[in-house]
Amino acid sequence: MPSMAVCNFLVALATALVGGGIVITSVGYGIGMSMFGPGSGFWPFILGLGLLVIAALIVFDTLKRYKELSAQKVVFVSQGCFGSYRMMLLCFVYVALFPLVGFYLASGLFMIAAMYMLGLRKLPLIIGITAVFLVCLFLLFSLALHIQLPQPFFME
Amino acid sequence: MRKLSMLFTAIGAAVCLAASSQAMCADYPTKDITVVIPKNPGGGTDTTGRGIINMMQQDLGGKVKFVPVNKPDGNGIVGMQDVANAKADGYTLGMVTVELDIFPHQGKTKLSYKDFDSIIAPIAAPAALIVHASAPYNTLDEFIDYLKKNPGKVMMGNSGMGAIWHIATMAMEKEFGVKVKHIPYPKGTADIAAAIAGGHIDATLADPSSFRTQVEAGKLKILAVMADKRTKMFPDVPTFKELGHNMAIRAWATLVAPKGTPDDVLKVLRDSAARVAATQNFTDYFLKQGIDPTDIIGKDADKMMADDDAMYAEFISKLSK
Amino acid sequence: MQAVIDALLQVGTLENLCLVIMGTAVGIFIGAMPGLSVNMGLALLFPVTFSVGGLGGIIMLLGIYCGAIYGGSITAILLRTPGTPASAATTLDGYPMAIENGQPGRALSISTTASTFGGIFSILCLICFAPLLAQVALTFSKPEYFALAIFGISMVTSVSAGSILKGVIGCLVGLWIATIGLDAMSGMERFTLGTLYLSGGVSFMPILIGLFALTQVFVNVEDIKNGQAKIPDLKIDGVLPSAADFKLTLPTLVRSSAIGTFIGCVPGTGGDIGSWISYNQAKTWARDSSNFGKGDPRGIAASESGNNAVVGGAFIPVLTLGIPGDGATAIILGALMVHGIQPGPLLFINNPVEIYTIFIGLLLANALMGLMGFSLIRVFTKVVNVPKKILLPIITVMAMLGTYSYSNSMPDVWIMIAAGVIGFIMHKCDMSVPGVIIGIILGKLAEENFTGSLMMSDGSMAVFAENPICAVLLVLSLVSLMSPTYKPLLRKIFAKNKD
Repeated sequence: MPSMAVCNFLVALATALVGGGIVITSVGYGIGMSMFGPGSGFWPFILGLGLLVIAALIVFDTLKRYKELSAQKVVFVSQGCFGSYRMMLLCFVYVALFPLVGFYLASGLFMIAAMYMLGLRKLPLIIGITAVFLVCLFLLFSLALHIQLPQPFFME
Repeated sequence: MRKLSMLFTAIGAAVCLAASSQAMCADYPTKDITVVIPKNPGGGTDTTGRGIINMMQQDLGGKVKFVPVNKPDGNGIVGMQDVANAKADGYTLGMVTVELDIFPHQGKTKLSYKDFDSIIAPIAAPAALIVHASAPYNTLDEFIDYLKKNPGKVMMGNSGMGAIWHIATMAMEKEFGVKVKHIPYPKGTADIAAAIAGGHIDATLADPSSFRTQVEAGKLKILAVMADKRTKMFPDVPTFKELGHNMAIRAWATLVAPKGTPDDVLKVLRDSAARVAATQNFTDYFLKQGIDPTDIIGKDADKMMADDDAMYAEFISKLSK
Repeated sequence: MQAVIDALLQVGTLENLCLVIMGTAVGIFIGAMPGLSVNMGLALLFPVTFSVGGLGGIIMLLGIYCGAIYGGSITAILLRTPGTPASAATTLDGYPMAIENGQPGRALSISTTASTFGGIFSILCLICFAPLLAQVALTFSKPEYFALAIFGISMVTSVSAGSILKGVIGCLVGLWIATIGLDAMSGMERFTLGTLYLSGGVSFMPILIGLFALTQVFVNVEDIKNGQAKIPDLKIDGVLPSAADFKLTLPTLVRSSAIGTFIGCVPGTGGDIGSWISYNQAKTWARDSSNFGKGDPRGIAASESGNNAVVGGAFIPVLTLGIPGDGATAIILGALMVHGIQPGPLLFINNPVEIYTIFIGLLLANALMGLMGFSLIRVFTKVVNVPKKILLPIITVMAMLGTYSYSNSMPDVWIMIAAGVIGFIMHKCDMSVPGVIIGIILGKLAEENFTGSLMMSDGSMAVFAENPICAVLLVLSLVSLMSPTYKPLLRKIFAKNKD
């Protein structure tokens, strides 16, 4: 389990990388000031520089408070977190299903899987809630508001 | 024998069913028509699109709905591409704007007007030269003189570098041999109106609908329009053409179908559009919002898009030298 | 006087009353649903204004507009998900008060009161001072807009919970995200990786929904799986705010409503900027601001009155100059013009009845909004009592629906999920989210006006010092930015003086 200090260093590293990338790309867009105003890379260049500066400041600050921050633990591995990661995976699969089976079917599958994963075991309740909710959504969004939602590939 | 005849009947019925599900022989339209609008809701193209399809929906009896869908991604190119790639059966239409003729020459897309069959272009707003009412010039020539005496100092607003009004301003610079300072207002012409009214910039070449209120209140004045004929809204304003300079730059929006849509489907849509364009309702809807309505229909709209495309191709290659 | 009576009679017809009630209700719903934008709702119902005679359709649109800005606060407070970007600041104190402190009724009643107060305050300003304020608005040019944007951005240091440095990272990243795409000031495409989607820029709505709704879902799942899910037992005593709360928040309400009205009348700024600046100012001027971010009623009051006050303010340039401030007012302006109402200096002379009808319509819409809000507080609070196992999947589906329907784009949905995951990591690393939102919302305003000012001044940086309003706002921004450094010092000084 990493400590907050390590976490800070990693954040600083990521920030520095992003900042550096922005700075380099911005120079390519032109950072000069002319009578036509600044080059289009001027503003992002300043932002990138700012990120680099902050990254350095975080490193200093973390070193200054090293003891205190090492004691703070950042929880990435725990019962709870694994639940969250499973939820993230479900979301990925859910969205990937949109173009395949359409919005409503994908939502139905997602809701059943998610409620089960979260600990609900009464299957009739799960299916009931899912059905009622999706019907309401259908009435409201597709019929009343005519909002277009992804269709299953077999209906295209 | 009976089985064979039953089989033939079944096949015949199936063929008829399949054939009738094609837009070709059944009455089009039979189900809802999607209209892709490649801009955010509330903008000029959006209200134009929603207005015209609402009127066409009523004209066609109202049994079938036109469903507008906003797809502003990728500066509208994604939306226009979706329409071009859609099945050409008349159930997916779209709005395209003059950017369709500009973007290809700026390397932003391979899409062009050739990918569409037009139905109607209800608006084609010309670039109008608008200045502050208290400015010391009252005609185009006086303005140009002023520009020649103050090269590079007069500030003219546009809606974005590389966008249509900027191109119009650059074309004016080339035509008259003058230089101005280009100041972009990316949020749109309403901001330009506020800027001129507030005295922060001097002039603009842009479509006059956002400025109409100020012009009628006497705060701004229009010196000339880049159109072939005088506008209905400002009949006293001369065209660049009248004043000796053949320039016509207009921001149009066209309701289109993908290229290759069957002729009878196009005919239904174009006829409906023609009927709608002849009504007072249509004229009122646009005039009241400060837009001069046009009724460029079908092949005429195709030609307009082709002409403008050639014009921008020439402009952009000249301007980039 | 006759005109006022005529207007009252017009508004008072059964048909028009039904329309404004329906409009306000629809508006609140659109506002509450993340992803459904006000502009979309207005554009959708715009054609209805033609089928109804007179100004009924316009009044309905007014109801939608007012209701939507209020509606966003409901989900912001109960689910930490702003239904509209204007309510993002309400999540900072609304959610802690409602869920962590277990007082959803109090939070909702404060927000409803604040929204109604802000709306009515700004409409009164509209009625009394419209031409004056419009003239002030016209003096705003690019340097002033830049300074206003910087002023909004400078508050990142005071609203970042936890580590301020990390909050600033979020803000800088947000500002950078706003630069992705076609740069209208130069015509160049930046940071687009050659893709078509990015050339149009990254839409902020998916990021907003992802960082707030989806992250909150992931965080709550973690709590459930850790067995730490709180089962709130929430009772509501009264629906109206307590006298003590009202007295405490009154100065904030007035200040934030004034700020919101002013920001509204400057074209191009909206409820989101209004709510953030109001929130920041409330925190700056509060004697004891230690509770902000943990459920301080003044935080909710500031944000909600600030964003609703923008409504009345936004009508000032629309009615007096015919210049719309944003997409929503542009639609309403279009509707007004199609009905023959020509905004501008001549409006008060030519169409007095119509003007008063609009004023009365706005006041009515705000009153209805407040009424509906208060009467539904008990219903809304029931939402909090729904077991999380059922609520979280529902919220996720709504987030997907909202994101997709915003611009019918699948890449947006993927970005939303990415934002949700990143938000979870940020939460773990003690990085606060508001900074990112502030950066994305204000990024374009800041950069385009920065570049634009320099284009107008031929590259001279002095332009920012030469314009008085701009210079003052920039100085205030610096003060705001540095506040975490000197605020504890001031507190010590005041504490000493008290002894």
